[in-house]
Amino acid sequence: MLLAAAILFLTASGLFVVFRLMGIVNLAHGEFIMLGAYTAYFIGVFNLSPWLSYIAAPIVTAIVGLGIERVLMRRLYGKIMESILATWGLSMLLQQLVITAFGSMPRYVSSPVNQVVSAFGITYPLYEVLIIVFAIVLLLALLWLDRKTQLGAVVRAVIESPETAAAATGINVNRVYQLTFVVGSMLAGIAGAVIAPLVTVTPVMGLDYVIRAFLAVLVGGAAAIPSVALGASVLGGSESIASFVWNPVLGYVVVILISVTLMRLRQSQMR
Amino acid sequence: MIALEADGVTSGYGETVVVRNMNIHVDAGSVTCLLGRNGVGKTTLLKTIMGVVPRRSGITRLFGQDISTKRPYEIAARQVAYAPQESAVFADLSVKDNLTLGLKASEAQARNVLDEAFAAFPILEQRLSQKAGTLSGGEKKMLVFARALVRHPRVMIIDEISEGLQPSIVYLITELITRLKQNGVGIFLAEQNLAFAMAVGDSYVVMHRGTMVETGAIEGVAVARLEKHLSI
Repeated sequence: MLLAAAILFLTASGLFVVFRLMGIVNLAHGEFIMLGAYTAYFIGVFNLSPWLSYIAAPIVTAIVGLGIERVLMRRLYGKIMESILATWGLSMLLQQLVITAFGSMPRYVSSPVNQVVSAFGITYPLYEVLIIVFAIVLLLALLWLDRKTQLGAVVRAVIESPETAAAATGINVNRVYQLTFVVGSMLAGIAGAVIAPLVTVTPVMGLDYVIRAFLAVLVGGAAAIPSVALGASVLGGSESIASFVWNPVLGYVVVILISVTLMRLRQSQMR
Repeated sequence: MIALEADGVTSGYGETVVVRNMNIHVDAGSVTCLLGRNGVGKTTLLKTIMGVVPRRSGITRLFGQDISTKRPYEIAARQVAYAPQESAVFADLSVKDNLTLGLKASEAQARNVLDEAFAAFPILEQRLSQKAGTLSGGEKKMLVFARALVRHPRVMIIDEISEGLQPSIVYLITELITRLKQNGVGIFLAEQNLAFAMAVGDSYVVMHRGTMVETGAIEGVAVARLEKHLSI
């Protein structure tokens, strides 16, 4: 249950930072996760240390993200519908590029640690425990960045009023957007590398994550990073329980039902 | 020396033209007041000069240099401080963050910035860690003015700063503007408060329906002549 929530938080955090600042729903976010997972796979192919993938994956997705921001995203700021269509197209393009380059067969990534830990009479794979710890550390790091640093203040100012931020305080708003998109891409890349040993790596693996991630952002309220963690905990936890009790399909149905119910509840509270 | 100049500026939003063929100039060490009723295009003209609203024609210059195509942050970087009227403080940020935002300042420099702001408006020191959104209307105006002040501007563009302020704060701002003038800062001030404009201004431009209808020196002008442009 905790693992499902941690994975959902990891995959949603990059989507959240972009959505919160720019109002852009990046439907290609799942493909950045996929690129991170492929980076981890190739690190293994070249017999490099698996730990290296946690550095290489965000670098790869940062470079791809920077290129995409320069070519595409900067033309879409403030255009919600256009950004949805364009990132949907981008998602398909990235999938096809990976299929063309590496084929569509499933790939597997080995875990950097294979030990287990025991607590309260239950045995857990150490890697899964490390993922949960990493998700908590990431949450705290993002909170610190947002609330305690000048960069966080700049981002919050741009969210509130890009016009005033630019004219009254001299902030280069487009540079902030660019940086945020790159950070969002990096977070997706590192999430992909982290989850790669637990899943089957394929060119279309991202779709499943982007839907759940977006639901977690919407359920949480898209206002602050703790709300995304809360959304991820509620959805990840309930899917995990429902999948265990019934089956994964019903688990997914439960996620959608809870998402719709919570979003409607919040809408009625806002009225 | 002309600090700020707009030459035949026309601008607006989408298809709507709001400002038509406006000509203004602000000398260094002087205050030019932009007078007019609500909705005549004063704020749009200020935003056009700051590069926020797209310009359709005309040229804006800063100390003779064309800034027409510059982006807002590039204009701000040329020591042009803008004190906007609406949504002017960042409500979710503390007073401290509002003051130091965008200033690439070290901890010591930031401390100096804060000291400058407190010297102008002592009340802000008590509100330092408070979120700006929780300040009173008057305190928000002080914060907006202080934020512009600490940027050590060569030109200041101020949008209806006296609106809704109690007389003691208006007096305080009058003194600060007078001091800025003495230090050679060129100030372009959009106002509806005629008494305040006459207290600080050197010249005036009257706007009506997006165009300039009258201009001249404040000294010696008949109050009634300007009042008719401001009364409904």
